Amino acid sequence: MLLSGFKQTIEVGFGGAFDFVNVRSFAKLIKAMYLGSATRRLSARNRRLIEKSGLFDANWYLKQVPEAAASELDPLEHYFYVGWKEGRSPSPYFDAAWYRTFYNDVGAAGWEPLLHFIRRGKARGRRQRGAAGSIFDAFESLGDDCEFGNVQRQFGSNKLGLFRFAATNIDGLIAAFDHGVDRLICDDTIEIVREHGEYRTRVAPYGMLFHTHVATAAATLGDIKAHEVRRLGLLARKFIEDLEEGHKIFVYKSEQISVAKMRELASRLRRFGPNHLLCVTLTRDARKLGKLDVFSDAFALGYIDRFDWDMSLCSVDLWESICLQAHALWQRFEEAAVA
Amino acid sequence: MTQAEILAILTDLFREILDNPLIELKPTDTDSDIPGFDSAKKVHLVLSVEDRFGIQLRSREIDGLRSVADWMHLIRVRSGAAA
Repeated sequence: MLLSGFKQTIEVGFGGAFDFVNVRSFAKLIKAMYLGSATRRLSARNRRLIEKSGLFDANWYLKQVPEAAASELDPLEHYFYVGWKEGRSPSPYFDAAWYRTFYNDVGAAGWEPLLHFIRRGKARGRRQRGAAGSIFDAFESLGDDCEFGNVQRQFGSNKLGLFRFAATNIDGLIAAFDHGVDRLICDDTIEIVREHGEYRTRVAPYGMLFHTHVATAAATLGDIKAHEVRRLGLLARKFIEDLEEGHKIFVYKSEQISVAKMRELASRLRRFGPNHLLCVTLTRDARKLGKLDVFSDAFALGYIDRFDWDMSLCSVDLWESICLQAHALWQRFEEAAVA
Repeated sequence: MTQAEILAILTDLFREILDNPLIELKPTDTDSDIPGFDSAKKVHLVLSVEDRFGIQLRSREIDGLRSVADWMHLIRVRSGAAA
């Protein structure tokens, strides 16, 4: 009798056709309703999931939302029932407003973004982005190619960077620092080449090659050169300012790298300010994957299983793990220095 | 220079850089709201803004530009509204 009643409901609901397709549609509807219901309550289970994720930081949240301290709700409750609706983020590691805008099904359904990411989004390959001015925005690529720049974009970070979309090598970088980064880009040092239908800018003395993002059909070589002197000149100026401010973590990846070379490059960065160098290299040792070896307060080495600028093949999760550790590490160094 | 005038100039610059005469900007627009606007185009825009308003933007200021309102505020402050 129960089954016949169920069938009758299906028939009424879907115009009288009880078939497999309609049952699947109905099941999807029930599942979505359950998820919507389950993510609207801060149940004990949901609280455990959020706390275990490491993506809610009560102290950070209270600094961002001082009025939450006066609330009867604890910080997590305040974020869950009030904060995210006001565009607040639960920690510097998760931008809730960005997540519900970028994945607009979340916004349309009114789901709380963090719990959606934990329960559904991450398993579906959806990305998180740090809150404004944090995590991947704190990093700047030194090469050796575009991969880390693409990884940053995966996490919603699109900061401008001189070497973000460039091919470099560590000896060329060290030499550029020694000869003067302010002299790197000028009419005499750059040449424009054509590769794969795109103009690219070569700085031959240092073995550097920059994407222009301009198709060869779209402009003349002369126009491009003048434009690149200005464009890369701006990025070089910005790069030097970032070095002098000393608030960025510079990232250099390479299939093979020695501690001596890392130390050399880190020392060049330190000439400008208290900069940090994160190098990332390949390993076949599964125990090292996603881990960080810290050599000093100036540089550390992370390990990954493969490099690929194609994000569908790249080890994005390992990059994320390494960068989160590096960010936390140097925050602790900086807090200790201030104390 | 009023905020409306700054917005009008910014709109013209965006239209030129993105080669799209139909772009209409609102102060609340962010990068993702403007079709075709990416980091490569942002460099062009910084250069154009510096030229047009006679200012030089600092790295931290450029990094802080997330919405059209941020651009308008920065231009107003740095140019002294005298452009």
